[in-house]
Amino acid sequence: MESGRSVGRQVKEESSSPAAMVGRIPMKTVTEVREDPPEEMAESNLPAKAGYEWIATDVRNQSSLFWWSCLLNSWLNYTPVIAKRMNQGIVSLEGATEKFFYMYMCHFSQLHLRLPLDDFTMGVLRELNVAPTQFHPNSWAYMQAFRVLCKSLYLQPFPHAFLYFYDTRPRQPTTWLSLVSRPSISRLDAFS
Amino acid sequence: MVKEEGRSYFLNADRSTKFSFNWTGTPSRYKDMGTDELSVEDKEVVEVLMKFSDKLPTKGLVRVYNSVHPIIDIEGICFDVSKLT
Repeated sequence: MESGRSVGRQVKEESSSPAAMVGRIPMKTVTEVREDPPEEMAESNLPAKAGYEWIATDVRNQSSLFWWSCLLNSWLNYTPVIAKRMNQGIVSLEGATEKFFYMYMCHFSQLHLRLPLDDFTMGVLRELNVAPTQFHPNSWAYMQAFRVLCKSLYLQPFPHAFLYFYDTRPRQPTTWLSLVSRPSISRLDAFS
Repeated sequence: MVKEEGRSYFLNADRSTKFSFNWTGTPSRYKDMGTDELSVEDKEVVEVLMKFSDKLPTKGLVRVYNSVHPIIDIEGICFDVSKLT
């Protein structure tokens, strides 16, 4: 999970702008207007994490909307992130040192993804050999739509049946992996 | 972070992860998958979906999750696909 930074300070005012667009789904970044000492600002303006130089620059420059855990918590108070009937304690938002993964906010807010991920979703990620944030949000949309479509037809969504409709073109340096609709075969239009 | 009680949802018995938690330098390349590469179950799904002649609205389908919110599992909820097209 994407973890907010724990700073015991309330944000006075903040406005978000769709500065970074990835395809049609905006990954919002925060333009901060707040009362903070300069050193706090400097600390918040963290550079991209080291060890990921092999990943395309625009990916590394995406920053979390949640610099404060209180922001994330306030959102989570009214957004169910964990699927119904699941134990609420299967993931935690803080203190991750091992066995954790990141998610983008749009996964929950726009694509209605819920944790834990189902076998279909994990199967597609496994087939494509990508992490959740490595798979382009527009392609996540295809996966979400495919699941609805299958269930409405009383079909079980299978990873291979889904991937049959798409091609992938991994690029160097590594960036988000997108599904490319196969012309004349694809049955889902682009998320727009 | 995956907690101890949530491990079975995300980790295999040998504690390996069910999908990659980290970015990989080797995403899979897919190109013109043939139907011969599909299992019988996969083929059934593909054949049914190929019967649709028009493109279906991805955004509209994703919104279905919204309409059933907070009932997240849509299983058992029957809706008419023709309304979506």
